[in-house]
Amino acid sequence: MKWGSYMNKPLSIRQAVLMYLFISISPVLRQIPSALAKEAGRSGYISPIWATFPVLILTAIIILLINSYPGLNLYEITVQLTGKVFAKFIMIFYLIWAILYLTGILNAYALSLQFTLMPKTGSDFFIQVMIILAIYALYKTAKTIFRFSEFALGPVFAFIGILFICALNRLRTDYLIPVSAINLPNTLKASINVTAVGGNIFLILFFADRFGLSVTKKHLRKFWTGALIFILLNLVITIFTYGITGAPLTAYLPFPFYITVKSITFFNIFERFEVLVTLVCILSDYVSVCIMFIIVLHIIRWLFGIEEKEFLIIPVAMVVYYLTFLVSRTQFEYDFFYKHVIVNLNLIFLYILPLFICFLCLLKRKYIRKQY
Amino acid sequence: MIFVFGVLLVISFMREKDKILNKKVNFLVFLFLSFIGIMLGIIHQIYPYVPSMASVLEKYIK
Repeated sequence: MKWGSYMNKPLSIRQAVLMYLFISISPVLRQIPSALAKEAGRSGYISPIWATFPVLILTAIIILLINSYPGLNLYEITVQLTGKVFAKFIMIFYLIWAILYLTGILNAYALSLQFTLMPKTGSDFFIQVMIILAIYALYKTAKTIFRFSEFALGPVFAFIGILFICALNRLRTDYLIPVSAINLPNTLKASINVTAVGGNIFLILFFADRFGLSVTKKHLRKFWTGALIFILLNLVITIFTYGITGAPLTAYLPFPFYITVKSITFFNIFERFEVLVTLVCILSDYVSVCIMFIIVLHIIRWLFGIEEKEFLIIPVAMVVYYLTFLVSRTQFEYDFFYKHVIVNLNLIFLYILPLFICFLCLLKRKYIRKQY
Repeated sequence: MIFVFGVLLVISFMREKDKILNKKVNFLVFLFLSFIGIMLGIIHQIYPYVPSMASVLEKYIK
């Protein structure tokens, strides 16, 4: 069975970390610069620095859980710590969060395409295409999705590097400095937008049973590298966007990086890089949709003790497709949904609940040690 | 699109019949998710016509 063959194939930590970075690209290019500009103004580019602390704490939590329970995924770890009933209870909440997050990603992708390339095309068409491609990927080996992230991330980072080099002479320092001390508390408050996306590293725990039992310190160091690369990417993109477009305009654009890149040329020879930026976001959204679908199917499997999941792909896809329209249809509704629902739910499910699980893990560790 | 999903559900059921009918829980979960999907699809189809349906009902009740 194709799904069964995926379940037997091991996953490397490197692939998982690269997947995390790849799925973080589209929120970093799309939502984060405008959210930071709205809340913190021109000082918003400092917010990724504040977000380093919670992201690194979450990374430490993940490493602790993987070290304490090697070869176990999030559900199995929660069963060990809290028992089966409470673990299933937690998984129900994660299922609701995962479905809402997935509908958010689909909406963001459709709205981006409408904003950038095809304003007259309805969002249903984009979402239908994405769902069909995701269903196709889910019926094939899911490890392909991780391999694709591994393969595509290098060229994406190289492309962003080239854009940054070409944009250096267009950066306006008067858009960036001086940083107003009055805005510093706002930068701290705005950093939750970066933190909410950085928490995606926790999704790796859903696949932690694929890493096997032999996870060394060298492997775990990749988590730290991944988290730091995420923060650095945020810093570079935000500085880039503010320095060229300016914070006041960035605050009111749904996809500010796209507008920023419109003004960049490669030594006045190559231009229209914004189309490539849209392509990068589509690829990132595609991988995010596939990963979240896999997580939803995993959770359903754990909740009901189901071995095979292939027969659930179409029903879950149908539920997600229609929920996407019910959740939000317009840019305004999506912005509201993202700011007030997705960001806060991400903080709860990617930071607060893992902190609770980590606390239980530390307590149980001490208890086990006392026995001996 | 609801018809496309309906057809896909039937095809999926026919292809995975052995796995779905093998265990009671598999069949129940498949049925439950399909039911929710179809209900959401019907709501999505009806949603644009809700204001006119409401005004017809209002006239009828008056």
